[in-house]
Amino acid sequence: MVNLKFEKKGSVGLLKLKGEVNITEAGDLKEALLKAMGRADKVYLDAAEVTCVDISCLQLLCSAHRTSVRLKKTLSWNSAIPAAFSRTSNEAGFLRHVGCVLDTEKSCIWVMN
Amino acid sequence: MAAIDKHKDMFRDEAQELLAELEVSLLELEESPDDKNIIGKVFRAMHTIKGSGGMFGFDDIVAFTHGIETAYDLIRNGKLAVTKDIIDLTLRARDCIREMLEESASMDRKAADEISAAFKAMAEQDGGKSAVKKAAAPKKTASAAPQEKNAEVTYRISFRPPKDIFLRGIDPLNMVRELTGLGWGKVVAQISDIPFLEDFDADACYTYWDIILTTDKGLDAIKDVFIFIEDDSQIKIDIIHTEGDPEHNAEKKIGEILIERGFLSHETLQQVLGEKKLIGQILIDEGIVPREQVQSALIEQQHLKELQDKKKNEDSASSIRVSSDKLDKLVNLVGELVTVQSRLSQTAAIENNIIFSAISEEVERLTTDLRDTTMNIRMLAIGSTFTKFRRLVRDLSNDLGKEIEIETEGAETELDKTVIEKLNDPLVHLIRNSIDHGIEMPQERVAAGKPGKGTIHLSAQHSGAYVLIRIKDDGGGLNTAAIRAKAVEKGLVTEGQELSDKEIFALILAPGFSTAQRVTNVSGRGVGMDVVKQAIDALRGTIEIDSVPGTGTTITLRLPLTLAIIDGFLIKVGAEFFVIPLSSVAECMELTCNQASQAHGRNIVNLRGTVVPFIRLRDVFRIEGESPAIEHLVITETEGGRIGIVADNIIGEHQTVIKNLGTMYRGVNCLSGATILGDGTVALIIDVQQISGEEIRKEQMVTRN
Amino acid sequence: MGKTILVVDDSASMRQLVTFALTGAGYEVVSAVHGKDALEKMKAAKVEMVVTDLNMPEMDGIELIKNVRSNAASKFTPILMLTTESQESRKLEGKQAGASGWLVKPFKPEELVGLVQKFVK
Repeated sequence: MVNLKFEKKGSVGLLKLKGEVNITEAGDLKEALLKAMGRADKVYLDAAEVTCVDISCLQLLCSAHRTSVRLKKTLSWNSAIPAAFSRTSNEAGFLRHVGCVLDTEKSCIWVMN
Repeated sequence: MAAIDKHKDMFRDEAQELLAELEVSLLELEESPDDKNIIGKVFRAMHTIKGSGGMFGFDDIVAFTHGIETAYDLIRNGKLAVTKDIIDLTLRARDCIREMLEESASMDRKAADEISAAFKAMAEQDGGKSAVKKAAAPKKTASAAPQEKNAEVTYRISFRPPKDIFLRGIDPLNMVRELTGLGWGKVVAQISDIPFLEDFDADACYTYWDIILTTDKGLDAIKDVFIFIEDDSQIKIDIIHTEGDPEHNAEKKIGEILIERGFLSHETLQQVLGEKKLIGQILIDEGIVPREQVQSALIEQQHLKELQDKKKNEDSASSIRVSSDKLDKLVNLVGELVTVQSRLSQTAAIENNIIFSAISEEVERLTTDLRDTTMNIRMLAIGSTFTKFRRLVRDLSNDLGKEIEIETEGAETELDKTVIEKLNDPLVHLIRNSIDHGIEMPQERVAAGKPGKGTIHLSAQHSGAYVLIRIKDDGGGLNTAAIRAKAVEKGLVTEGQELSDKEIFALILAPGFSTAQRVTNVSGRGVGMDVVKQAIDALRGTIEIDSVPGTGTTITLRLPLTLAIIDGFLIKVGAEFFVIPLSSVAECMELTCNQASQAHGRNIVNLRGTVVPFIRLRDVFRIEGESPAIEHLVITETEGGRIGIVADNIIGEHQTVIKNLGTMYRGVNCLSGATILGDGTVALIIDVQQISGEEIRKEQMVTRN
Repeated sequence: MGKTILVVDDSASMRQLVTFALTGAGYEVVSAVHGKDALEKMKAAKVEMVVTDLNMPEMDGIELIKNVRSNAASKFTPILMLTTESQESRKLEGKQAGASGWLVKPFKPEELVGLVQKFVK
């Protein structure tokens, strides 16, 4: 089960994810991301306490990032790619060196540093 | 076997019940032949008997009921009417099944075959469809071509799962993992179909994959991964490289890969190649190929390149077997050559002929290379020895009722073959000791707040020209009081003698020392640590023991990398030559009478603010003659700290072929061997560790008194 | 603790065999005798996967699959159906209803375990 929490300071929002983020929770996560981007220009994701993720979650974050670029907003991690995400995104081939075509701001969340 | 028999009995009981119900149902059906409910019951009973029967090995029942089940399926679907004949036949069939269940010998095979044939005929009224069905449902067979079994093939797998894959309870990541688990691969997620958030259906899968996989498991293993979704997914599997097949060139241009994948035409490629930028970049810039596709192709290219590099490495790592006799002979010859070479160098130095000197230097360089290479051939990884201990630990700990886990580290560390061979017995002994005396019983451990499972950590690491091998356990540690008492009892030390912990630990290495309170199957066979020490000494190694009560014991073996040849540092005292292993030499300095006298008769010198003790070889070996006014001090690094060795003269580096000293010299601790110099003179090789140990002990005694 | 698998079969010996195979592989097993019973069991405990027979009284396997898929709590749960060779059309029906995979009877216990491991690690 995922635990989602949103905090806002000025134009900056922090979406905190905790626990297991999988397909069962994808709907809730989508709503949370939509809401977060509606309320803040810069949304940071704190997923340090996420224990495991699946494809549904990876592609959802990808979609959220694309949407943020189109809306001229920011969506990014509040630190390096969190452990659970880097593990799964590596296995699933999301992790990359260069962002996709839509990543015009060079802010792709799957780019390794 | 017993388990499956238990299941079989259960099935028998259950089938008997079903047959009893079947009888009732059949009689009811005779009354009301159109009752769908009853027909369903009969069908289900047959179906269960057939399905379960197969599971429990009643193959005759399966074959027999197949026709009946099909007939009742037809009846169920209104394609066949219930007649008295059918009911009669079914009742008789029921009795046959019961006999088959009992596996009775008296059963009427002929009757069964008749019934079976009758039902088959009924079933085939439906255009023989069911008969075909049976034949057309072959179980998956391993039809992979034999060449696919072992050859390493690299596949490009494009996998686009159905959008509703999650709603079928399938996680595509599991499939990707299963694929990469088959071999060695690279995964690229294609994310171009992922929509913006407002159009995103959280239940859908938008991602698809390109997977480059190198495996020897064959195409069927890959297809098996997709077995449940092959009809609904877009799956394309291409072979892009086959091991040993010259047609598949592993070095591919990015353009070729994209053409193969159908993202680029030859014409466009030729056109683009006219420009002078990186092809991938042009294709992206011009919008000819989507960036994702170029990225994915780049990853394929990279994978193939890595594959080729790996192959190259494997090829170069291919080996031949040589008998160790031949190797030993080679090492001996190299040893002789080294000796001759030092004679050559010496002569060249005397002759003072430039050309001669140049040749001599060249020979020296080649000899050194030859020596190192030869020594390298004899090097083996210690891993295989480590692996053997797993079994030992498992068996012994089981015998003793202890739970012990062995961890190994540095299995790749290389040591001279002879050293590894001779190391086996001492290591076995040390590990046995740890298991028997070191690690406590699980309940004791738990009571002491430690995990019930003990650990023995076995590690090997390089340290200069030495290899350190550590056996570390997390057991109870050495009992210093018990060791001391025992040593006093054995007369090794006197009652009130002051001893540091290290000195006490070292006592267990003394001949005939054993603290085990009882003789167990494991250690305590009359051979103690002294045997270990002898073996390690023979290898010119040292043993160091460290122990913390309640926490565990660490035993460190320090062994020279090789036994035969070392880089030495040649010095002279009076008319005698000595060799100090170069690996332990830290620096050289001059020692004037003045400095020596400042220490008030004690052999210590101030080296940049640190006090360093030194040894006069002249005193140790009672060499005649006066020391020169300015002596040379060779500072050596030992485990006990730095120590100086005083020499009259320093000659310099010298490749030293070690010759063992005869048995007469066994009692001489300070020497580890001898070598023959170019002019035939014998030089003794100093065992720095030993000589400094004795000197430091003496120095400590002086300090204490 | 192992993940929980729900085994649905009206045949007690089949339930026993499947349970035996799965518990041997480290899974926890809950069993049900037909579809309706299975849905009740799913309400009571968190089930990671369903292994079901198709022909059962009360509620058959196909109905069960449809029910599992239409429930928000279980719509992503993997379902493996156990079929027989003569049920080709039923297999298709099951697939359309949302089954994740199938296994044809008779099978060896290790085949079942291998397939279950495909879905639930």
